[in-house]
Amino acid sequence: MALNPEQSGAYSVLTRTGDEVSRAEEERRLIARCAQGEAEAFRPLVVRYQRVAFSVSYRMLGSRADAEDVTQQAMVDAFNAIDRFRNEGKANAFSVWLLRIVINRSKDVLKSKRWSEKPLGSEGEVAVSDAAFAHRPVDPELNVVENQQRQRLEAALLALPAKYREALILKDVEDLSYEEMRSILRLPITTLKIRVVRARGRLRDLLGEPEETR
Amino acid sequence: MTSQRRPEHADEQPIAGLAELRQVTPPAALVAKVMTSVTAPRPWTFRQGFARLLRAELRLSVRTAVVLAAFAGLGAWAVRRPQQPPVVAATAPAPLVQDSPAPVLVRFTFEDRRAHQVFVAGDFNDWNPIPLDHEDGARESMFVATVALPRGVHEYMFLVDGNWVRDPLVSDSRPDGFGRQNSLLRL
Repeated sequence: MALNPEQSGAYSVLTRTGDEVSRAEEERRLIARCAQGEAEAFRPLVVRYQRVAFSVSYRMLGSRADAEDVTQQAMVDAFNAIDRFRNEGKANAFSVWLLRIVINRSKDVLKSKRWSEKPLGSEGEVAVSDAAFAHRPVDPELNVVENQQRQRLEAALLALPAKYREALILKDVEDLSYEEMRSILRLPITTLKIRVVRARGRLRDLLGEPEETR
Repeated sequence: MTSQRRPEHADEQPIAGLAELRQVTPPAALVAKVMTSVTAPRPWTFRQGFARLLRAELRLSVRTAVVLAAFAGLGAWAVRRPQQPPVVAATAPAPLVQDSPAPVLVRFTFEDRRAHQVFVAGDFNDWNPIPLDHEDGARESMFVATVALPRGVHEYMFLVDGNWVRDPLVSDSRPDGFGRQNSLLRL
């Protein structure tokens, strides 16, 4: 399926492509113009980061409608507070800052909806297979088996406690570095590594993977 | 399931298929909605207002006179035509009058204790949000704006802290083509 490169997941959105320096410089200029009140300069940033922001909130919340609201509000929050944004010489500073807002907004929604973090007991596998989705885009190019696997993964991810889910989304779904995760979640790297390993273990338990496939 | 022994260091490897979940297409209207929110006019802060007052002191006196004259004219017109209600509440639609070309002043109200900024936008202003303000003597949570509209049927929405919200007091609505409903106002 042909996707807009700005929206596709074919590469990391966090400015790791070859032209990193010029892209970071362009971003710095756009942010400076936004800080001076030029709202239209914010559009390229929204286009560039809408995919990752929406993806992270969607994977956190499991609902496209909620994810759209969170992404929209996080973008507006970022624009309104952009004069307080500090680049500090880091190429990915803006995307990291934006994702921090997205994650915090998503957590607010989880709290407001009182989505309890379900304990993972022996019924874990049953919960996964019974889980419902608010929305699952239909992709005709995926065959039935791949679709079922994707559904199981999505459901299992949503069944994880939020602190494990956010770590796994940033690390294994969005392929961020631990340094970037540290800036987003404001946790020590050691803690993050432990959470990622535990999250993978819990996810594997939920998926009920046979031992030999691991 | 959980009683199976897992090979040592197995969980240090990513789970197959997780990276594929990255392929999510954001809603088509997301960019437009964000840009609508960030380009909406924001009310001045006290400091901004005071600075502008100092900078435009001379012009202000002229402006004040013009505004006062406009209000005086409007007041005189209203006194002469007491039988015609000057303002129609958006939540209480007036009876449909087909043959009157005169615009109607519509008072949009929105109440939410948690809201900080509220705008109204509709087909009558090409969906460019108009800010709602607090009204003197009214509750802190009440936002109000009065807009002159031509008679007819209008679609509109409130923009509350960046989120599009239907008028909670109006049940009449119409699909907006993006999966949501716009509030409907019949004048």
